[in-house]
Amino acid sequence: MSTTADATTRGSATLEVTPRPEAPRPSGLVYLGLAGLAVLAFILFWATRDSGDILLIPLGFVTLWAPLYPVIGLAVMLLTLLVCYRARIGTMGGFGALAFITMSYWAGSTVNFTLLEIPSRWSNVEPRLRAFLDPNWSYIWTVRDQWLITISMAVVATLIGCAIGLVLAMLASPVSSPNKGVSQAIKAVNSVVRSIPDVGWALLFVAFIGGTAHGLGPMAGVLALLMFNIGIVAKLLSETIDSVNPGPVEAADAAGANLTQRNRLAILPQVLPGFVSYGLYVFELNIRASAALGIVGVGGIGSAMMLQLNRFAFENVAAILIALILVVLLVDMFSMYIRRKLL
Amino acid sequence: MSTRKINAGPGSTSRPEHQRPAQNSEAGQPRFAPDALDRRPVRPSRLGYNAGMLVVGILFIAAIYGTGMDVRALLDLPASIIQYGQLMASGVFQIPEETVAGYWSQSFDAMFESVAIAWVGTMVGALFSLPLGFMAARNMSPLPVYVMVRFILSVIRAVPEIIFAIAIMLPLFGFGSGGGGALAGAMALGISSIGTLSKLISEAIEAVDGGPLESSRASGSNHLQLIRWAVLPQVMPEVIAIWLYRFEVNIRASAILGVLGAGGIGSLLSTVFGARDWDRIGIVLVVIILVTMVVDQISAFIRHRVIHGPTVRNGGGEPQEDDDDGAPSPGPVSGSHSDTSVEQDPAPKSARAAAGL
Repeated sequence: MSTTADATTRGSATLEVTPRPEAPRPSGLVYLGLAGLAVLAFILFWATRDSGDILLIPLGFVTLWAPLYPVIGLAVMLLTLLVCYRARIGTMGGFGALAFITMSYWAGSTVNFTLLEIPSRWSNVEPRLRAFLDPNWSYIWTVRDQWLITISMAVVATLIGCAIGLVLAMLASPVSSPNKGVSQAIKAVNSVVRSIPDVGWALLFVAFIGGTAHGLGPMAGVLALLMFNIGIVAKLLSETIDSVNPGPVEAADAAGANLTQRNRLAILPQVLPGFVSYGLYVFELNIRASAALGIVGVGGIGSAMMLQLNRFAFENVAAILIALILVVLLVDMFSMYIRRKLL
Repeated sequence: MSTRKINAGPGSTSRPEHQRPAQNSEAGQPRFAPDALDRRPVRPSRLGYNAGMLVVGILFIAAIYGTGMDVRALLDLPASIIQYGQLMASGVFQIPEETVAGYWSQSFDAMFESVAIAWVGTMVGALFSLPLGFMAARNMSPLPVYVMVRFILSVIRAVPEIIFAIAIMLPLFGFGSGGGGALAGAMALGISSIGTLSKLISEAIEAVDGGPLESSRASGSNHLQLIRWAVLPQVMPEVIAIWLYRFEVNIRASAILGVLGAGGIGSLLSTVFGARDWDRIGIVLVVIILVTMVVDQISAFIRHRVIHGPTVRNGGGEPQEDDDDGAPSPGPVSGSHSDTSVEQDPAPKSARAAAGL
């Protein structure tokens, strides 16, 4: 401060040099608090550390023993805080950096992150990878019925899911819903539906109505995909409805439209392009998901793949997987074509 | 009147203005023959729309037959939902004595392991996605690099993550949550995140404002300096939002890998469903819902904070001095900043991030 004052008093006589503005120094007290947080995290990690000698952060040139790792984590956290302080990053940024390091340390130690075992374990991968690179091409055509089931499941689930998702999105967005209570309630229900992963729904419906073993796999699969789709479409579409142009809505209100008419004539035409593209996106997701969900006993190509996997017939699995990549690419191109054609 | 005159077009300009209310003339017949411009517009043909709906309907019915699903199974569904729902609810609401408390803590452990898998996967993806995103942006890289990287990315995007898991990662790192399965799942998620993340990041880079690029070129910066000082400051908030969004997606995706043997909540789900232990199923589902919703809320808050800055958090209405952020922002500047950033509101962005997945 005093230097700038000096510069201005002297500058009037000789040369006007305005110093570049500098970011203000962040509050040191808050940074001390952040360092305290880092120490707290260190104590937590120290208390819950693994006693085993598992490598967590492979540095490459030195082998570090497990009890050292929380100390290293603390050092990294404090160093990051110091760097942030010297770089005059605000306290919120410093907190973000600390949270990032802590989270990464925690996640890395939870999954036992190490890359050192790759060379020794590579021999495990090689035969399987060779099998995948030499697929049993004649097998691809024998599972065409399963592919038909998979694609049909995706189509049915997409169409019904989009229809229900449209209604729910209309109810969930405050722009188009009857009142605030309905909107909040539907939003809460929707976030519950969305937080259960697709495989959770598949397992639930397989348990409810029976899986492939009972010949009911496709039904359970369609229902699982349906719930999965409803969550996605309702979320994305209600956000689109939130940001709709209010002009037509006001015009419909002024002309005396009731809620249904207003939603039908003022909101639906605006969100229709988004709706179609979400539908296509969900269809792509469904193809992938229904291939994956076969693992848990839902019909379709995934069940055939699981069968071959349990027999260790990797050539056949490879054939299915290559066909899966091809189908996903085809669906991708198809949906891009439709999108370009319609929108 | 004046607007009508403007809208009337060239065909009706010769008509005198005072003759317009022709219906009121004493003869009761118009003094002029109404031309094409006086008629209401013709309703556009709905043939294409109707044909499209017909095709969709036929496709729907054909697909229902194609699945070969037994619709009669739906009749039993409500009864079994009520029955099993009661079992699950009784499991959730029972008094947590020792074994039940063990179930709860086991579920939370598995779910946190899933979150860790998703975090590590997202970090692996993020590490590769930023350079690849720059290489896949047309305004940042030469054409051969651009074409090659785009091709690689589209191949990665087409491969579902279970393929990475089955083919490479699970045999490489081992199965089960103790034997490296979690790391295998994380690596599979990471590799398969690269495609989507890089594509979204490259789109953000291509949409960058050209002014800073031009001015840094004019002041003689090389390519790296250009990226550091002109591009990164503009795209970084959006990139962080994209990473966080992918983190949310990865939490859900880690469940399916867990069923294959990659640890986390998926392994626990397949165990409890295999045993048909409905008490524990209820507990696991409640834990999934709780943790996922909390993580989603935190991530949405951070995304909002990163994109909009600190001012919008307080409603943006009253002038609030930002005490916790060291950014030197006098009132009017921060106000205008929040105004410009409100235009790019989070809804279409997250929607776009999802639609590009």
